[in-house]
Amino acid sequence: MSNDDVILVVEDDYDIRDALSDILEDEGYGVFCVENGREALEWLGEHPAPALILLDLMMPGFDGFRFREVQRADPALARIPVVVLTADRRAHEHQADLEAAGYLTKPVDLDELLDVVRRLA
Amino acid sequence: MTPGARTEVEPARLAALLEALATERGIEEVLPRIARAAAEAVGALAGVVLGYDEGLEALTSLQAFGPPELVDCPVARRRGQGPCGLAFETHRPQLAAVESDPLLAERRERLLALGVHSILALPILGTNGPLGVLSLSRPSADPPTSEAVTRASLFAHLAALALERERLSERARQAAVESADIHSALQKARRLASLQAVTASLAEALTVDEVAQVVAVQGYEAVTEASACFLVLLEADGETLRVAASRGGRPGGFERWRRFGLGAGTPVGAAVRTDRAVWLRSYEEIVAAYPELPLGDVSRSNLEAFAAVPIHQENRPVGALAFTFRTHKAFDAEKRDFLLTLGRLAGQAMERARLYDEERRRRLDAEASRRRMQMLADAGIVLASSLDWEDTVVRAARFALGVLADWCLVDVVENGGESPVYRRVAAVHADPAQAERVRELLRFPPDPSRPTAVFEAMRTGRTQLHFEVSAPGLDADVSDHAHAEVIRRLGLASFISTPLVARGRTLGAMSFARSRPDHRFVEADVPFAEELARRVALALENARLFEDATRAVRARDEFLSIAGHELRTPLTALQLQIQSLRRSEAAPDPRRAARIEKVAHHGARLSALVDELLDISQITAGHLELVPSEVDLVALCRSAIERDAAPLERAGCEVRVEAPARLVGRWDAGRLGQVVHNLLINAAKYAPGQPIDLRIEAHEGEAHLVVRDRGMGIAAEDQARIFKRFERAVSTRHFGGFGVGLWIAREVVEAHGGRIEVESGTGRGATFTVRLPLPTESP
Repeated sequence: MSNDDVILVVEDDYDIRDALSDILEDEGYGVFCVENGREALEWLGEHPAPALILLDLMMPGFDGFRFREVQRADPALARIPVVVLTADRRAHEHQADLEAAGYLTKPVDLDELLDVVRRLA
Repeated sequence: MTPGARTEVEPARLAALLEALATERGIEEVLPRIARAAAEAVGALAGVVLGYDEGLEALTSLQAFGPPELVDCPVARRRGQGPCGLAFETHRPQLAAVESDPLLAERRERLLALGVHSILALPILGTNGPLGVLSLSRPSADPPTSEAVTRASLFAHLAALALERERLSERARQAAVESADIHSALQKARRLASLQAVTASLAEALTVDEVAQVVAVQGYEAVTEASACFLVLLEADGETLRVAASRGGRPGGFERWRRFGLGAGTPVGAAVRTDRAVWLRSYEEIVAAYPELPLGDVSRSNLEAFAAVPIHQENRPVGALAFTFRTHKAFDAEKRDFLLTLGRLAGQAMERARLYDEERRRRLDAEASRRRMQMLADAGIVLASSLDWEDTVVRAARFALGVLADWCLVDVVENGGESPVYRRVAAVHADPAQAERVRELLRFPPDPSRPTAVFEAMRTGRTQLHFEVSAPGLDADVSDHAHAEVIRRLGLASFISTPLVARGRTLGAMSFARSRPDHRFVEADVPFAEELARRVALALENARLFEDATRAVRARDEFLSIAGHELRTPLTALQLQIQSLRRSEAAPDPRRAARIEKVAHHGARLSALVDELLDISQITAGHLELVPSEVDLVALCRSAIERDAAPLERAGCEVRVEAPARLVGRWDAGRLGQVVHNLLINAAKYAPGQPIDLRIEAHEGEAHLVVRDRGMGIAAEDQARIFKRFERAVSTRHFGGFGVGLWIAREVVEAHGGRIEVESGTGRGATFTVRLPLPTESP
């Protein structure tokens, strides 16, 4: 089951979650937010797969890297496209093994965000 | 008197004369009798014995018989003159008639007036020639009979005998005198040789004891008839004498005299006390002058005479040289001189020995001092060489070993103030075999609950001196047996504990210990210990400060990094919202739109600052990574100018570009863009209202980017500073930012292998030139 209108935001900072929520909802998407990788897995276990996951890498505890590992290992989740939110400007090179569909560096440029979301979701 | 009448009496007279000659009667007795006998033999009125005086070259009257006027008659006495002179010359008797003889012409009248009519001169002949003349004045002019002449000649012979004997006597006397002179000279020579032997032996005696030995032995050898020779010296108290050396005498005889008082009624004591030599020529004199002298066990035969001469150093009596003799001694001037000279030699040798001793000690002290200064210098170098303070402190402590101490401890206090912690950081020993054992003391740092010397040093800030330790006292109240045992095994005879103080703060204490009781610390050691401790303290302080500073800088940089990242989070949300706001107004109210723009601008400024902050920590941490790609410098500059269009316009700075169509190189586009941006914004800041020239050119394998402004310029002394982190050429208040623009620019340019320089002067604007390497192969 896939829902073209749903985006899962995995981000530990409240304000960023909020901003992303506002913006993406304005664009007409259904947005759900969780604080860390563990909660993300829990949510995915209880809901149909979203169209896109916006994944923050640096989160305390279960961070983005770990989530990605688990996600790719799980056939039910592996195909959900992931866009990584990272402070590292050279994300493309340093995090090549994440094989994310897109990389957004913080502070996130709105145009870039909307661009990649429209492409994938 | 008739000639014949004499015959019977003459043998008797002759005998008497011969007897007189045989006995040692002087010529003043014998000659007159001879003269008389001769005169009577020829019937003369007077007889004069004349002797030949070589100095005067004349015959002079020696003795005579007869009336004074006849005897004193000035008969010609010169050699060859008168009958006497003739007789002397010819060795034959001469008879001269007064009236007719021309030899007597001068005295004729006188002689005739005295009743002398002829003179008979008989030569007095000795074994080696004439000795004189016997002159006989006769009343008669008739020649005497040959018998008479013979008789008279006999008396002339006797006179010769007398005179010869006199001469021989004289010579014997002289010979005796000469022989005495020789004897005396021999004795002098012998004494001189003795003194030289003594001097030679003393030359090799280096210590006072050696001198005493040599003097006693040599003195004994040199002084004949000495039964013993001994040397006494005054002790430091100035009142006690001790026998420093002796030779001769009964074995052990001087034992009783090891030490005795100056005023104990001894001749040797008297010599020292009065500073005058004592000469006692006989046993009786000795006993009479010093009745209290305990002579019970001294055999008298060895004490027939005594002499003591004082020995001087620096003109003060410091002892005496004494001799006892087997026979009475007159102590004549020469003997006294000799003994006094021995005393003087002894004094000089002692003085020399004392000076040598002092000199040697001074040299040893100087040597020890020099080694210590060297030690301090070496320690200083070691201490300054490294900021790893624990290691250097141990090495510094090692310097003290051997030169100053046998073992050494260093204690430090950490967390001063409320709850200080004491730690023993060094325990070293000069003997490698004790290295393990001394390290056990590391387990026993100073304990504030026990009043140990180490702790006292730290508490009072004063060096604790324990030159003599009778029981283990370094940690005075050692209740722990293990601790006490370690110290006992290490050996503790003396120690010094000195605080380590730097800039008024006590950092710990350094303790120096010596194990041997015969080699304790003395006052002179303290300054060295304190000086070494001072240097160790300084090194410690410097190392700590450096550590603190490094930690502070690291903490700051970490904080900057954390701050940057923390700031980025709300910024992300802020930017998203602002951007969203900008877009959401489809038909915006112009005023609202303008306000939103302003908010966006503020957001952008904030974002730029945070970026700069993160750049700073990244570059400082050495994490500046370049991502090179093919970059057209000209295009890059033009887009940088475009991006900064707003602030440039606001500053009233028109940018005039002079550049080729393209200039491609392999650089990090993002970072270079940052450099251009920083240069442009700088120019706008410091040269508002003036055009900015931007020139690009390729030159000798380099790409040049030159940004020139016409502003206030940068003074020469500031030009190096502006490229430093957090530096500005002008005060902070007027221009915002962290002041790192040029610093980042330089880091980036240099990371590319390039250079950035400024050319400027106050009021002359500034020209920044960036040189970047161009790849040699064509793109």
